[in-house]
Amino acid sequence: MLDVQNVTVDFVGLRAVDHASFTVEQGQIVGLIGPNGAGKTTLFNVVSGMIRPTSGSVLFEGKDLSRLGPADRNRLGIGRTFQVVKPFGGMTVLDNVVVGALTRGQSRSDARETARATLDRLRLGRFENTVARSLPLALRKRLEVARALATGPKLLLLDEIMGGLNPTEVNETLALIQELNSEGLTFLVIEHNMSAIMRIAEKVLVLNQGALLTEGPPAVITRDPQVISVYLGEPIEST
Amino acid sequence: MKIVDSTPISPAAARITAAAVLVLLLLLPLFIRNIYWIDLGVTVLIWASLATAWNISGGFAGGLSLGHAAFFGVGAYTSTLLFLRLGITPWIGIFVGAVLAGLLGALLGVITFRLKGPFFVLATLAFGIVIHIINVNWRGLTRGAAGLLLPFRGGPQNMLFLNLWAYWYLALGLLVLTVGISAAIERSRLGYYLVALREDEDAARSLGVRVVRSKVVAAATSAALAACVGSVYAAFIQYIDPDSTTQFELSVQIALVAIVGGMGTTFGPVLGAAIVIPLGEILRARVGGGAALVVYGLLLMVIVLAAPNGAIAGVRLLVLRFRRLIQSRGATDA
Repeated sequence: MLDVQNVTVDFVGLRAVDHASFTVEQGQIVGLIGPNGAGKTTLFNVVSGMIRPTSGSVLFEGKDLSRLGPADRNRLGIGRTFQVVKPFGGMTVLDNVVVGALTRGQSRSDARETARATLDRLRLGRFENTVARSLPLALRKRLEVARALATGPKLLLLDEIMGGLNPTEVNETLALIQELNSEGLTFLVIEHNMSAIMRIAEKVLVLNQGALLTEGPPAVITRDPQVISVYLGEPIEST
Repeated sequence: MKIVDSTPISPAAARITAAAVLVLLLLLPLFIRNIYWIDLGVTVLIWASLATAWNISGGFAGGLSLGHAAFFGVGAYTSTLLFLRLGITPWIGIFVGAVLAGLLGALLGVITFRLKGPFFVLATLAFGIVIHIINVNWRGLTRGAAGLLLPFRGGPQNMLFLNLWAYWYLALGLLVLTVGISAAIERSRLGYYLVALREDEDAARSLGVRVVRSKVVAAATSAALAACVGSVYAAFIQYIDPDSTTQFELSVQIALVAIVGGMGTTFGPVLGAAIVIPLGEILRARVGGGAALVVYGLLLMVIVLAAPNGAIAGVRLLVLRFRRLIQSRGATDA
């Protein structure tokens, strides 16, 4: 479904992504891990079209995305959240989500319906009239997901949505991801919460200093000495 | 941070207030005889329309333009020149001007949509100044600083009236049109997109909002409406020159009226015109000279400090407090 081919991103004096190639198959949940500064978010920005790679290409459902901006990529079915949340601060929570539904050509009343249903699903229903910038961070992260979901994506890129959540909230979030996945949604997930990502991912990609270090099933990744040395520092407890 | 719920004034209340104000404005000719006040009233209506037009791109889309006098001027000159040179009635000229300004606005939008904050402001400012310089120097077309005088020919069919009240109704009709379009945009798909782009462009794009298309449509609509106001202004004053149509100060005043009233809201610019224009006029008439400008400046500062989100936000706050007061009275009575 998603085919990242030999992508390199050079910033001034820094190679953020270094010849990274990987694929995400329809229906998968793929984890993307790596130390801070490994280039995970940069890679997301390349896939979602926020930045253009120095070289390499991204294919989605066989279509080359090179010439498409973020809006057109979203319309093809790529949704994303931002690690540093970007709510439309002055709008209500409901209107934030309505924007996502509207770009799918829904009428305003249909868009409100979609938005309400999406908010309920993320248990944000009672905040629909809340001014978005006044939401606590954990809820703003959920709003990011709600907004992206309202665009009806086929592939959803989640950028550290579990940071700062308590264990119960993490479990709820994982359950939601799995539920959406069982309905056919494909996920590429950046996550620092290792035990969480290992529980849901079918495949884990490890990025280090911009390059893809290795990839494989969680059970293999957690035991890979190379991964442990660059990233984990110590073996993680299985949960 | 405290979780804050949005507390809108109910749409019904807003609609009733707007309707009441409109009825009052329609009936005003029954109460006022003094030509000075009628003239001031028409001027306020014209500025209200102009600030409302500005607000579509400046307020909803958040692109603070300091070049809108250019569009106003294109409207004023197009309808006037078509009338003078070709005998085409301003009733048609107003649409030609709107189309020309709309195209110019779209062009400016295409060039500037990428620019953010101060860079966008500077680009619009430069654009406005370029249009002004062209206006002053292209004497073969505009007669430059000498200006253009509209001869009183033909009357109503040429948008020229003997009775000042006719201009009042003309300007009021134009205001209803601009506010109507502004309100429709605010509630439309485009309105959502513009506010989303203003709040966070990256997030909006990632949700499928097309930046160029949205901003260009807003810029073109705003420019076209500003041009319509220019045509009506020309018919009202019957003399236009670069200083009264395309000057930089005029662009600043357009933005100022909208900002004082409350940018990004449908009725803010209208309220802004009702405050700023009479204030300036009365000070000029009663105080006069440099002192008037100093007092004018100071009063504007006081207004902006007292209601940093615009006068309309201040009014809104008062209404909500009043409502709460009534509710708590009701509660203690019961």
